[in-house]
Amino acid sequence: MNLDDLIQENYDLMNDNDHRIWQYICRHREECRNLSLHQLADACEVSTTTVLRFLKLIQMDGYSDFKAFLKWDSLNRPAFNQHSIEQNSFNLTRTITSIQQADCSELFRRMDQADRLYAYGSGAVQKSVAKIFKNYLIFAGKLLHVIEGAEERIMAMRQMKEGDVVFLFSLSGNNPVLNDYAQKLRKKGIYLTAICQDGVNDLSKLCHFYLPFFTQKIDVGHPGSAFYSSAGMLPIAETLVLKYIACKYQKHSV
Amino acid sequence: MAIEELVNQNYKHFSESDRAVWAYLSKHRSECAEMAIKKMAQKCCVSHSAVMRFAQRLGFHGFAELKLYLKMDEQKVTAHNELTHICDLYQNVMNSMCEKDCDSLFDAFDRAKQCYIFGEGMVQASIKKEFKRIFMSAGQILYDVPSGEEMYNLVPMTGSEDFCILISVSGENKKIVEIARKLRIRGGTLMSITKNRENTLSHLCDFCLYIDESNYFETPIHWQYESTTSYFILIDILFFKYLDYRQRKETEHELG
Repeated sequence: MNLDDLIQENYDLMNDNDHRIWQYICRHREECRNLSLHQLADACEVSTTTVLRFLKLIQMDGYSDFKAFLKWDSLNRPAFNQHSIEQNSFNLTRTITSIQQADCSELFRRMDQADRLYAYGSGAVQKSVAKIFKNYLIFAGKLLHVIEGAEERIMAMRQMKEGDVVFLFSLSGNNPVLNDYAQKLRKKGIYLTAICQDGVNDLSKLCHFYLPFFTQKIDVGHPGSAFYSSAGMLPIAETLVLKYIACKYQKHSV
Repeated sequence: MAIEELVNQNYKHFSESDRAVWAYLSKHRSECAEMAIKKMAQKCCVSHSAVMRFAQRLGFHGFAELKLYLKMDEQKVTAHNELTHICDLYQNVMNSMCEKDCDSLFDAFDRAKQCYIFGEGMVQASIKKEFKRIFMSAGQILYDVPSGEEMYNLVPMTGSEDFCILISVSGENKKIVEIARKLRIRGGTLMSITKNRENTLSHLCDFCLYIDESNYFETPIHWQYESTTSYFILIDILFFKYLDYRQRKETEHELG
């Protein structure tokens, strides 16, 4: 647990003075490591007892405890790894190879039998990819209905029939809302296809068909925020459409 | 009902001289409202019976009634200031939508195998989205067609069992008009949502819904702002009319 988490937990108990102290610490994290209790109180224009009360509020055992926390925080700052770009490119290549080699004939058969096709994405990028996938599919002569909002999700589910195909776009595959939705759809007899990251995740287990992409956490140098490459979803959508067209074309020529 | 709407409704039956009369009338409304039939005929280079036939074609008894209609129409347009003008626009779309008989439109809509919404541009994109969202709550899954190249590729997928909604503010968007012609050939039922004035798109469609033409409003950075809220009011009322239609159908079904 770091300092930010402790503040979040006790935010409701904090008064104006506490806010002022925390504001100062946030802006001068590095300098605070070398300040004494008196110096910190002076800098915040409050008394030393006020500072100690604040520390007690956020469950520190005293000023030295607080300083240890600060040190720990600064040592554990995530740093950007210079190899990240290389690793990310490698992941993208792996994703492309894996979708190229995937056997999608069962999915395509289901798509042809389905009355309607739907797509849903858990986040902003996922939703954008779902929309692009819809646009691509027009070129394959297929209509895909993109479900956008939370309410639409429920409304669309009511209209779905057994055998309909739903594409679910997720990054982690562990989004509780999406997985709960997948579970409900499965019970209705919907054929589910997951597009989410490779590895152990609940969504891939819930879905009938699974197209993974490779990604990893990339630290960007701020605590609490990390970047996950989601670009892999797009080549999957594109290649899938092309494979579908190839499959259709092959059937016609036979 | 504005005169443009009458023209749009009957445009398919217009003769060459009807078009000549309309071409003149649409540009000289206020003069025409005061003009004698002979003078009017002279101005349009047609016989006075042709002017008479034009008036009758629109559903009037004679030229005098058409003139009266023009005068009434003109009074409606005069607005006091921008704010009342915009509120009048909303009111107009509410009134015209409430009065409109949409039953045959909904018959076709319900019969359709798939319903598509076409439109090009930012505002149209949000109208399409809203249309889709609202009708989904009645169990209708509409397909909003992406603008651009995809639009053309989708046309061959449509057929005579489909219902297509086309949104164009002016009714003159070249791509949308082109698409409408192609959809017509494929046999689909077409519905347009445009500004209330004579336009190419409305002539191509089986059902036409209109919003009143609005003024442009000058903004502090000297930009021309045009209100689009009327479209959303239109969709909303259309939906309530649809709910009413469905309810009536169900009671009819139960009784029958």
